[in-house]
Amino acid sequence: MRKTLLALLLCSPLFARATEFPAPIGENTARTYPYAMIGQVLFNSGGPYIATGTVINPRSVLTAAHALYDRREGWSTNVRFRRSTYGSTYLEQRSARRLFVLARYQELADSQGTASPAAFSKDLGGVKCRSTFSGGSTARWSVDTTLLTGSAYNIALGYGAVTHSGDKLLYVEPTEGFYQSYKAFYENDSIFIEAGMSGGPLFAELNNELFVAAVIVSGSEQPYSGGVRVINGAADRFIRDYLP
Amino acid sequence: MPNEPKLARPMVGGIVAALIVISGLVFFLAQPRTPASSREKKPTTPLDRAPEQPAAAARARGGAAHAVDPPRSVTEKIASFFARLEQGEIDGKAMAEFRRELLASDPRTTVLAIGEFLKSGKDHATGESFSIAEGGGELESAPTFRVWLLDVLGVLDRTASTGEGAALSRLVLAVKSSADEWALALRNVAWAEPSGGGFLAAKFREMITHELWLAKPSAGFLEAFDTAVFLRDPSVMQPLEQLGERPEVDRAAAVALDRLAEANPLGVMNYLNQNPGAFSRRPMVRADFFAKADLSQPAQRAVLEAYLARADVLLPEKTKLVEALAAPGSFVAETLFSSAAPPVDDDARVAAVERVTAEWIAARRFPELTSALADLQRQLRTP
Repeated sequence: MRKTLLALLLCSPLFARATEFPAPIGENTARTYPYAMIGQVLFNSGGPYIATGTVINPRSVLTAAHALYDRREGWSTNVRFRRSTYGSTYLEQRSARRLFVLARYQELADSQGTASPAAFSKDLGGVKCRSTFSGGSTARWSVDTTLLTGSAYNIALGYGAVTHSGDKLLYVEPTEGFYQSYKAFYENDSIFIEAGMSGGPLFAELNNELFVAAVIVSGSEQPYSGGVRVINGAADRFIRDYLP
Repeated sequence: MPNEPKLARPMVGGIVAALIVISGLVFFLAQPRTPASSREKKPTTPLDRAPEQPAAAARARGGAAHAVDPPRSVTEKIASFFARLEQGEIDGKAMAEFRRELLASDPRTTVLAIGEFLKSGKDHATGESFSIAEGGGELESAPTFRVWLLDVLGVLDRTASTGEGAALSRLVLAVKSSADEWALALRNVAWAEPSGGGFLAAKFREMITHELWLAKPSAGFLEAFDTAVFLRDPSVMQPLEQLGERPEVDRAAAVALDRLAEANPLGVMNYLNQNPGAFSRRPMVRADFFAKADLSQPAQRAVLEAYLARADVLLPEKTKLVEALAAPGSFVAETLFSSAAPPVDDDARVAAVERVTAEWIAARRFPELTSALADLQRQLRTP
């Protein structure tokens, strides 16, 4: 009897975890710093795709590895970045000159399959563009992973293109902290990530400023969960050495 | 007669050294290994795999070192530290401190002491992961004491150049007891014998086709894929292409192949043209290998043009190559073997691509690619 009661309680809505879903952030906010550093990453990989990226240095964009490389199609081509896209307009476009993926051999383990879009799903990508972005502003990043696991304010952003149109910047705010799932891959069960948001930033607040603390790399529906690749020491060196 | 001793001494010395090394090898192989949680079982018939030429390698380095006893202090320090590890008294910080102490001690004596311990066959899990230190090359932490010692051995011998580190590592490579140990042993041999590519390539092929290790690839097993990049040997592309069963192995192979193509573009392109079946199942990936060509180099340009003229290569693959020339990709990794890709002079690369593709268009060299080449030229001129 007690077991039955316990089971009923665990299944009741009182114990159901609330999931936060992405919603448009609005054009005005999207065009203010640091959100205006985010943009669409357009690329070909056996067909046209959209992902998200962030201006991290004057001529470079940080994104997800699987936007730049696929095991079957190889390196993506015709890679372009449209900064601060909202609706039918964007502030500026840059073409890629070099693509980089931070892929440490042993961190390629625990993958979800080569045929799956999740291949290279836990890695960082970087696009070095042909010319610098105007204004010189860039997003700042932090290697402090406690900004994700503690009580700091977090907000994930990107261009969701499944239930949304893919041309408006979406945001979702976790209601609980991230947890380390596998090496530099962290997850959060309080948010849903929509396809297209991959490569977008996970901003964390520190001293009233927002820093890129991770990059969105995956999402799941069963159960709802969002996955990010944190900016750790290796990611910091990757940005400094390869993304000027 | 005055010449006789001069001839005789090296011969006698060589025979004695060879006997000592061979007896050391037999002793090494015959030692029982202490079971540890992270070690794999030894193969049941390890003695059927003889090292290629460990005795010769030891001789070449003046390696009568096996016969010399290291001072007891270093040997005892290692034994004492190992005893404390077995008792659970050692943490990561203590490992790091002892590593610093060993690296600061006399390299020759410490190398001998490490060799003595490795030959004992003893081992114990450290509770740490196989992790590469910042900048690559060395380990930050190791899962077992033997792997940890093999790392220290290689680092010490890199400066001491006794040849003992490579000789001991060749002994490790004679038996498939641990993929993590093999990764370090391959690195140690590579560091000590940069020209020993034949031995390394053979051992690398053995490693990546060993079913037991393939079925459950360890971190060290995956890191060892960078041996292919160190070797710059296109012939290892064939076994790497055929590893597709496990996703993590397939992906490690993808990274290694791409980095190999970047390290030796001419060699890889020649191999692919000479072996038309290679990567025919992954044509877009093959196109990426050719996109690494430096078109300012006449030899690389000629091989790329031969590829574009191949009848067996279909238009979508050639188009992918042309598109990829606009913004080629690179995998960046801190690895056991090879350094990261050198900085690329993008301006020079783009200028060469613009010049060569303009020449192709003007000469109507590849008419089926005219549209793709025009798109590439436009793309190179946009901001």
